[in-house]
Amino acid sequence: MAYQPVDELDDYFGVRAPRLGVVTGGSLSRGLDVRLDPHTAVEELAVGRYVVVHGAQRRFFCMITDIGLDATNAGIAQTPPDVHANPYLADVYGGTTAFGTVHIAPMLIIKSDGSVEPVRTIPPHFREVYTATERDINDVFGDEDERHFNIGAPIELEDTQINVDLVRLCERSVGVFGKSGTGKSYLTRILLAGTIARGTAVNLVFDMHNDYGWEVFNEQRERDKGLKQLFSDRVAIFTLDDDSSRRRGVRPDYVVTLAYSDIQPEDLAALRQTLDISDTMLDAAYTLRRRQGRDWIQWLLNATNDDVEELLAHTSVNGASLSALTRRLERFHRFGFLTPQPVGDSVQAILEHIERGISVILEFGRYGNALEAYILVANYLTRRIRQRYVERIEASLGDEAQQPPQLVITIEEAHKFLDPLIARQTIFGTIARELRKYKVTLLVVDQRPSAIDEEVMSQIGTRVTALLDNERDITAVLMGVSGAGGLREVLARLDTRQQAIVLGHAVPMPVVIQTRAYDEAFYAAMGAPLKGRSVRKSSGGGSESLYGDEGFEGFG
Amino acid sequence: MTLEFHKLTAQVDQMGEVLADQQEDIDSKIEIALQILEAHADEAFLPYIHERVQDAIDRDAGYRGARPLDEPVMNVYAPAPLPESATVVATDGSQINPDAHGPALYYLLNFGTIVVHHGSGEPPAIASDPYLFYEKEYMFTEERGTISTAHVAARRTVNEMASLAEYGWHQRGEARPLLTLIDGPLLLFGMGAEVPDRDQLRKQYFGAMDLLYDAKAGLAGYTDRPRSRYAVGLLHLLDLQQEDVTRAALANDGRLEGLPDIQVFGQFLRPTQRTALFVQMSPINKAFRGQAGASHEIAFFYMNVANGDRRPHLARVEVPMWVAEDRALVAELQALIYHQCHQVASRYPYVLTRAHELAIVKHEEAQQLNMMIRVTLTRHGLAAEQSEKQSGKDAVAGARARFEVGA
Amino acid sequence: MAEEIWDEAIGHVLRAGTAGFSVGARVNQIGAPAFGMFVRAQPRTDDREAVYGLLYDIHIDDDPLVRQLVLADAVSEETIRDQRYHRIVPLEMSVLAIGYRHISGEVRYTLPPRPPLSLDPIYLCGPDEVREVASRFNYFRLVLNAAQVPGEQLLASALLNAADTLPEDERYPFLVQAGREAASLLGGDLTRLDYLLKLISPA
Repeated sequence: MAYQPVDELDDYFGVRAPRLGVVTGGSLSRGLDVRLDPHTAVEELAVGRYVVVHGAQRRFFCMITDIGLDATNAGIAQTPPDVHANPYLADVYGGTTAFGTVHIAPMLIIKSDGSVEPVRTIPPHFREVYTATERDINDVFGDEDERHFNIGAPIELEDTQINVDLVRLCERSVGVFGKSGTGKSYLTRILLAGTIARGTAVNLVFDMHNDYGWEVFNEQRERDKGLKQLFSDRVAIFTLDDDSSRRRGVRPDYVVTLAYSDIQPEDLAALRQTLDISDTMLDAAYTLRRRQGRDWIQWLLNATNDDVEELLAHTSVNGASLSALTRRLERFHRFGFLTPQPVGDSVQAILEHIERGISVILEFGRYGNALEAYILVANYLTRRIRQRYVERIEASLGDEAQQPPQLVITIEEAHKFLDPLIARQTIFGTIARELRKYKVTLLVVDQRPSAIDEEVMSQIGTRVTALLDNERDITAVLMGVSGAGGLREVLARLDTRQQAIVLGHAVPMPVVIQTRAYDEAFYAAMGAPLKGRSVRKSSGGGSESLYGDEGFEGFG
Repeated sequence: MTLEFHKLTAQVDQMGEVLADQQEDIDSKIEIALQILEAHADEAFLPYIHERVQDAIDRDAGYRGARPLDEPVMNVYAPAPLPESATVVATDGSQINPDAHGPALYYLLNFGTIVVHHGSGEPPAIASDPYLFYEKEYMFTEERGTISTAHVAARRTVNEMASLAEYGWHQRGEARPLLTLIDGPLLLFGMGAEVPDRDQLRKQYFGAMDLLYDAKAGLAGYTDRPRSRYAVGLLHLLDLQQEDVTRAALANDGRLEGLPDIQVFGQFLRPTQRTALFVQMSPINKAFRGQAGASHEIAFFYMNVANGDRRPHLARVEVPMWVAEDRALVAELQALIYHQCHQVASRYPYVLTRAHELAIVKHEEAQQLNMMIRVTLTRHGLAAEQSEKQSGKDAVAGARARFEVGA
Repeated sequence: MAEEIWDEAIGHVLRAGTAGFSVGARVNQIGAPAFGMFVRAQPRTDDREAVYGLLYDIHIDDDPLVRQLVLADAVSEETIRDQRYHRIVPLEMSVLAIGYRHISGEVRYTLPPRPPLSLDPIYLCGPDEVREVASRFNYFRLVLNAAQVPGEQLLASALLNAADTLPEDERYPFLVQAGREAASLLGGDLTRLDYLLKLISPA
């Protein structure tokens, strides 16, 4: 159904969105200034809400990014009228001499024929501004279908659905950000559920704190269902810590082990910061590998002084570095999942599941608290899996049928992997930069986005952000988003729970959402067959034009 | 239009000196007058005084002074208590004189009358009666051509009385006493050669008085702060030896020359009090008596209309003999007159002020009348030329103000 | 049948200009006309416009006799009644023009094309007429800017008078609307605006 101008809709439905005010100034880059009508209650507006500006020939979908007060005469601030003693004065001054303003950021343009386009111009002076109605929102975000998944509703429009395009979501890397405690894993779980439910992608989740697979304790100390419980035949739980999993009532599908002999110096490179591995130590590792072969780590850990002496004598390895390296590696003793020799092929196991379309959630159990374990394992597995993906895709010579499914790898504490210092070296940095060349994308969950390498950030196509209060973090998340300046205020004012801004590749325009409830209704919806009709918009450029360029090169 | 004050300072200074001298002069004269008055104050002197007056008349000495009626000359009389109810009628008149430069030759007499039903609490009745005179017989006299201002004034005076008499007559059935009041003397002055139809007018006047007589009205003529010297004239006569009474001697007031009566009486007349009744020995009064009857001879008294503790404010009240003879009526009229004066700070009878107000023709009104006349002349095909002189006058005197906001 | 106060002329034009006019009244009691009332100068012929205005001044010329009476200490009842009933109180009223009725029938709020003529009768506007004339606020600026007229007082009185002609539930919204119009005109002069609003504000 094509978008219809408000007036005709009013005729049809008999409902009028209340007029808020008129445009009085602003610019495309800075956003628009709106002077509120006298009857518009300032208190009832909020940043993050959608409004629609009725231009001469097009409608401008905008988001309120700031709310202010102004007066026609500065003297009013110095000698404010005594409106408490005389309510008449309040009625007269309010909205006339003293008035409210909102600042709005244009997000989207809807033309008179119903087609949409990105914002490249602004409305002229004095055009009217209305609250967006549910109909307005629905026409932009459409209904759920095989591609679109509901993740929440705009603030104060609970009956509206914000449906993200899952295909586009998985085409680029995704970032889920927010202060600690703001429900990032909650948001992530919903996104993952969406991709699984719709079959858009297969997931590999490095689940640090057992938030995704099986029963998850929520804030109310109730148990939410994990992804395995929702999609028993499409999700497998792998574990590094079988005891821990079983204790929690999980029956893992596979116990993952890593062989020392499989670990390569490259795997250690990702741990540089975490384990404080210097360049010289890495050099030593490389040297050792060359000399000792696959069992280099075992060798080192069991090496006698003489062995060491000999090594030092015949190589350029630095003695201090070597012993430091040894000490680092000794920490691995704690990791029960490390075996001297390979026990099964975890990589293969994962790949087999993935190729069958089954998402894998890797629980870390007690090792979740050990950052080095997390990074080691995530890095290890990802490198190898991606390598296989590269081989498979190159071998397919463009034949889709031969290719493995789209894979989304979820990592937490992403800044540890994507720190500017190591981003170039880790596989994750590479994956992020590659976009979907090899059908692998990332879903990074993090509370310190400013610590993530800028270049990598610029490759993160969709950002789902809960409350952030650090200036640099906010800047990092909004970097590269046009007109994002206005969103700062919105971001800083989100509720601590269950509210987020979604912006980027997977949505036509930035939107503040009240996250969808993860409850019985959700469970049922995940199990239920699809009810929604097919994508609504078809006139004009269709959905593609909503999103603009195909050749998305990132935000930067 | 420019008064050169610096040229006047010396003159004004001198004026002060001279008047002061004159006042000294007056004061000594008052002394003398009082002496003479006191000397003749006793009732027993009345016959003597009458004799002396009669003697002066017999000598044809041109005596114009007063003659006491029958009350001792220095007596003072309190008024009656203010009547609870009474009827007070007052009339005044005004005129628009004939104007050679106007649209047509005419004159207008306007009479205002007020009738107060004293003690009733009711609003008075008021009337304004204009009369327009334009016929040849009014406008021209064979002897003198266009009627003169003085002539018009004479006609006005007579018609004032006629008007008063009309209204007074109509009130004859109302509360008594009935006071019919007019501003100025009752004696008809200004009836000289200028007024060719003075006999006619006098007849009309007496006729009016007759009407009031028949109505038994208390007719009175009120003069505020009079300069009359009738009583002083008497004192001067009494001051002379009988044999010295000659025309020459009576040509002035001798030692008392220039002294007005009220200065003498003001020395002892208390507020509300009146002097004794006198009769002015003038030819006109004689004519009144002769033509209209003894009842129409005019007597007078002075009364002090000032407020209790104020300086004396004397007025002369003239009454026809029919009133003078009724002392009770006189006393009541005295009370009513005082009551009327009492209401106005200027101590001038309220009813006379109102009658005057009702009679007066404002300049704009006169202009408007001229306008009306012009219109009617035009309508009847007569050219209403306004002489250039008049237009000039109108322009200069023009009272039309512009409308200005806030002005 | 009782006549309403707006059925009879309250006076006639003495002097007139485009900005307003003076009314001479031969009314004995200053009962009906009041400051801030809407009045209408009615032309005697059909080819001229009725002019609407606000009464901003009523004064009684200096009357020496009245002064004398006031000073005197004992004025009789008859004298008082005489003053009240007979003395033609030389009452002069000043009216500020705010608009006129165009030949087409609509009320226009510009200065009238022609001022009223001398002796044109002046009527107080009845409630319907007041409602009509006061329904538009175009005349506010004129009133507030008129020289030597107590603009705020006048406008406030006029508005309160106009509000009285409305049904009770419409009065407050009307005054709020009027107040806002004034606020937009006097935005630069808050002292004046505040003064005006306090005068208007309903009790």
